[in-house]
Amino acid sequence: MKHSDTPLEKNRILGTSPRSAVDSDKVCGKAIYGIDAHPAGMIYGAVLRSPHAHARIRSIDVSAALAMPGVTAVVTGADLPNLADKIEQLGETIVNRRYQSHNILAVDKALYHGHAVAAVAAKTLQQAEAALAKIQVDYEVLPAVTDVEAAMRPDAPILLEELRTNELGSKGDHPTNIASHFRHQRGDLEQGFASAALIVEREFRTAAVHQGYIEPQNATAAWRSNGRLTVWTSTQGSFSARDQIADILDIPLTQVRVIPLEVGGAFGGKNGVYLEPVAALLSRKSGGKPVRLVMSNQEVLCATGPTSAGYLRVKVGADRAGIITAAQIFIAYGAGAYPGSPVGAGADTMVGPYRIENLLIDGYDVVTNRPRAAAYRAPGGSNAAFAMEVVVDELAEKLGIDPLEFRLRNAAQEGDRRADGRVYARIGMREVLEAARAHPHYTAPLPGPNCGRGVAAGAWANGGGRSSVAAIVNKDGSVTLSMGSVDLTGTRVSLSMQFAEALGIPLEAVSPWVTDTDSMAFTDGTWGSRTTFASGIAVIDLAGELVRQLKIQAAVLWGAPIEEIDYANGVFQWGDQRLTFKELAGKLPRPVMATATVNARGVGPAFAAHIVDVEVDPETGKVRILRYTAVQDVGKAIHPDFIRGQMRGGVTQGIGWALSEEYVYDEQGHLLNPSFLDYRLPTSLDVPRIETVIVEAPNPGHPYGVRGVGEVPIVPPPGALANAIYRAVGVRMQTLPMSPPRLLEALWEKG
Amino acid sequence: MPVIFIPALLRNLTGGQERISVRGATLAEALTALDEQYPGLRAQLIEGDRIRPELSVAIDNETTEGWLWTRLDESSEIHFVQPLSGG
Repeated sequence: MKHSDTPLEKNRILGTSPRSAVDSDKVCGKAIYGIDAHPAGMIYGAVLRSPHAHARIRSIDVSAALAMPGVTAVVTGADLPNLADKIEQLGETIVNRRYQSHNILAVDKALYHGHAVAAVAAKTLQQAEAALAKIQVDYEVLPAVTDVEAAMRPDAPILLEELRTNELGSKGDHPTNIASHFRHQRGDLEQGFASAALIVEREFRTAAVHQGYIEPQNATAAWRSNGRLTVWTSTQGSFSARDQIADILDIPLTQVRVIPLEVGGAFGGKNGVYLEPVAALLSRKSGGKPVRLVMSNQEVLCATGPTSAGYLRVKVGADRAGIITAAQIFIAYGAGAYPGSPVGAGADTMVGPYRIENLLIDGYDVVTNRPRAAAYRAPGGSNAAFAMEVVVDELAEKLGIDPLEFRLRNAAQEGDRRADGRVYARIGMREVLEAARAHPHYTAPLPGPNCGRGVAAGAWANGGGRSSVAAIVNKDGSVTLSMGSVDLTGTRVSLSMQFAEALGIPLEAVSPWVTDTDSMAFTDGTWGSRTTFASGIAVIDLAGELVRQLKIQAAVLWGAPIEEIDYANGVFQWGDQRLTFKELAGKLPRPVMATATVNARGVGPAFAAHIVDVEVDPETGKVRILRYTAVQDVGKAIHPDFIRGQMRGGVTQGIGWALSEEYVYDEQGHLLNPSFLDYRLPTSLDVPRIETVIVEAPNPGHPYGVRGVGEVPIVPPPGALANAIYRAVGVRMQTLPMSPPRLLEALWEKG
Repeated sequence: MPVIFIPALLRNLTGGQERISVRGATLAEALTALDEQYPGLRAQLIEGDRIRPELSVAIDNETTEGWLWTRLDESSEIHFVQPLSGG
């Protein structure tokens, strides 16, 4: 694939790890976040949420709230346009805009504890919160179901009366909580299992976990009398947010301007909108005054998407040589109140590292009385890989084969097919496993009793998609680089590096910024590990376009034929005439501005292998991590420090998922731990220094070989930790999290 | 000829066949040819002028927008897959 005619033969900037002003602003508290937006005349909003997990809303009386001091508006689901079904892709999955609308303000039914049912705007936050208490909601409480397996039973309480199981266009004929069923199937499963020397079959249950970002959801909206709606928000995708807001409010795209501000963590949880349309409705009812809504951490945990809880059955057979002969998988994910769990991604991820000729996967998307599931860093991947990696580990052990060697014998490589049938191009699974095996950690002695070492592999497909960028050449030789991609993880730096490299100018000459939605063409959100890859291709193309335009200007200056002008290493040349990029910028006959847009193809999947040592306290069930090494194929390392940060961040979140994090509900569906005191994120005391090994197997679909790096490091930790725990104390954990009480119970059962 | 990989849940309409070669220079032509061999398949995969929104179409391993006018090569592989992106 040819992307650009810019000089790519020499890496001056790629592979270095420059510091940036963006980072120092964040560290020094100078960065501007959503709650720093304070348009003139701003007032405050607050949201009333359902105390019930499942209840019919008979009526809502807002008259007393409206009469409270300072109150300017009250909105309920009745204020939302009545939308028809409209299926759209959003980040990891698909959403129905009608359901999305009902999720931000309940219509007819509250479907989870914390579901928004009304909102108030007032001159002060205290006035808004006082008015919430005056809203009278008449609920008919209904039985709730928060468990995936229970929700699939025929006698389960039904959440959405109109829901029928979708099986590729065929709809079921009765109400159900099973929103959809898909199947991946190839080869001859029966023959595959018949040729196995050993078959291991296990079932697994995994808890829902939250993305755990520091900055809560926030939105400030001003819906002026001229019909223009401006929204300041913390989002992963400003254009996606604009489209969601316009669809939910049923207004034209051109009426909505989204201004993205710095993001204090997202990890998939800020792909979808929650507050933005509500703030807009409150603003309109308040005469166009800007209205700010900010969630508390309790609201974040109760009402924004955690990832899915899951139930999985995994059956894998292997022959005596340690070759997998067949795999059969049942995977059901809870979607929360509305369809759209990442079960498809989970199915693809869990078998991604392996070549499996005979395969059957049945996947189910199931609604439950919980907040609607949102993407979370390799959505659906960690819990699926946990199940697969534990079974693979048991096969290796029982066949007497080293666990990394077993994975190597089955490692997917170029030409092999993914679960969904697509064929891998060049991938680095083998190189990653070999690098893990060669790492000193793998053969280091363990320190004592109750210690064990585990390994696991992981895959993530990564994303491509649409990106738009623009550049302006300034007369001092600097270039203003505008991008539609929201910067979550150093995007301004990693795109500036690729741009400067391709353009042949110093990195310091590039001044990047993230635009609002009125200033750039559509750009997909910063999700799916897509941005350094896809927006990277866009800036390389942009550099090529800029050079083309600058050659025209040089030709005008010199009176030369354009085709005779050369550009290399930052210098334009025609015969003995010579101008550096900076010199030409100062002499331009007319301004130069270029744009580039792409819909990036050539996505390169990412692979990882992790090694972890643990010590288990048999008296308490507490797992202490002694050492952790993460190995990952990154394609080409643009900014190695950022990549190591991504790897360490992914591992840390994976440790939380594996050992401590879970949503805990009572039988009525109330969330019992909606605070960061009771919802146990890993702390610095739980996470050791994480060693990182960067493997570079270039992606042929990117000019520099880039693969997305942000998501795959969260995939292997639960499996690696489960396998380490087994080797430490002899119990195969089949439930996440492997928290002290759960591990202690398993130890007692083992005797 | 382009090869369409039939989704597992629709193979009851193809007598269990997983891969079917069809003539067609576009996705629309290929699906029409498929429907001539196995009536009913096209309707299961299409909504309006594009593939059902809950599906993605991968042509030669690249996810596409699923527009029916998408061009095919003689050696194209067509897969109907779950939409995947990420967090």
